Amino acid sequence: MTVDPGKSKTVLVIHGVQTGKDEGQNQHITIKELLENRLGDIPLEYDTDIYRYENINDQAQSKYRKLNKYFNLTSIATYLPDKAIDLIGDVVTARQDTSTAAQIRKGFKQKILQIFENGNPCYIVAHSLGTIYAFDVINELIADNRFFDRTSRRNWPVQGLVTVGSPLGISMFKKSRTKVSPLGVGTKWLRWLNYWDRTDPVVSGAIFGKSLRGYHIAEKYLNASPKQGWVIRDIPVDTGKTWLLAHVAYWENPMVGEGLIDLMLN
Amino acid sequence: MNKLYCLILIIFSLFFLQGCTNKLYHGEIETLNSNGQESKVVFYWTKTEPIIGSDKAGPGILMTECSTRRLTFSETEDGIYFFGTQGMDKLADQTPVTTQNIHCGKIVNEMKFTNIQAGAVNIKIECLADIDEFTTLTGRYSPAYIKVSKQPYAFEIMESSNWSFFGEPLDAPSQPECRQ
Repeated sequence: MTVDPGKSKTVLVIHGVQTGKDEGQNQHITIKELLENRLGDIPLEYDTDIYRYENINDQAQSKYRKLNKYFNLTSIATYLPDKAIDLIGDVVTARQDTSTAAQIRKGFKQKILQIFENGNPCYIVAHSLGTIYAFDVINELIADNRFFDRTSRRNWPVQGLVTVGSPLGISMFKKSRTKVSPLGVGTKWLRWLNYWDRTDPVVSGAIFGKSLRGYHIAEKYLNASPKQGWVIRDIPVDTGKTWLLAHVAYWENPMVGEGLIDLMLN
Repeated sequence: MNKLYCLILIIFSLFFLQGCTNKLYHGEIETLNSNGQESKVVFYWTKTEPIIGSDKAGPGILMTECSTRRLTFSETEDGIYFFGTQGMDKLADQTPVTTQNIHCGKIVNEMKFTNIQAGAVNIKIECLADIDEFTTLTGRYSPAYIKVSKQPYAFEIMESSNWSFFGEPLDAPSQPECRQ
């Protein structure tokens, strides 16, 4: 199995904490619109796809939701706790490394390997909680001896990673993710761009704006070893929105689009 | 009735406090790329000034006509830099970039995007594009970007702005049309 650089590129999106069902997750369409807008007249053959896991999470949370419906009689009193279970449940699932989290990782890995088997260069765009799954799965793939030979990118199932609004800097997630898998000896580099808005509370916990000084999210994984093989950049980005609106504004941000284009074309 | 007025006031205040001014800064010059071809080069960034909290801005994006590269100028504690990427950039003497923090470009007359107003922005470029087997080269397009120059390039930056309740970023300028 090898990737053909001349084949159409695939941007694989993994979404973050959501309410609703799988059918409602269509962030790959928004990313496609962003790329179309930013590419200008450059001819690039590519497509976008998405890995959805909202239904897997919902299934795991179903007993709590049934219980909620049983205790609450009015529609509004049912609706709000139901949404809270949906959102908080997603976070707890990822944080506690449950069987549900393992199922999500397995499905995501399969999706990546399917693109790899077709020979298409794959670029991951992960949002919010999806960045946790993307981080785990890419590191699992690197640890697998069949992939990520550092002398050629042709056996790399993932060619680049873009994370947006990642909570990897928050202690509940970073504790169990202390390092990235090294790629070993060679000349090729795996590129990871991490975009974060200073007023995105999911990233920093600071709603009035996080200072840059001493604050590293993804770059904390960098080390001086020549065998590590990762290029990791934290890029503060102005999404044009504030607070929680900033957390969902990355999908349409031109600077994120430019970074993704730079990865895909080079 | 007073409770109703109070509720309306709270809701209105919450809406109002989400409000912000969105600004777009951009400028362009015509110069040579590293292949010696006359090229249009666009530099832009955005800035948001919320009612509550600090202003935020950047990163800056530099786009060269007919180039497949988009150079990101990120704000750091020490200034605004375009960092070279291993496998994608090399120094002026053709040495490939092999470490993370190599400066390949810099805004020389400002340290923070939030401080920059309309007017001159001077940008120094110290690297050129490197290629590998995954570099997309299609006819007129190549990774070649604005040429290395000892003297900074001077961009005359213009500002446009817009106020809204929930933040409405202005449209970013397009990649310059490839005329070659």
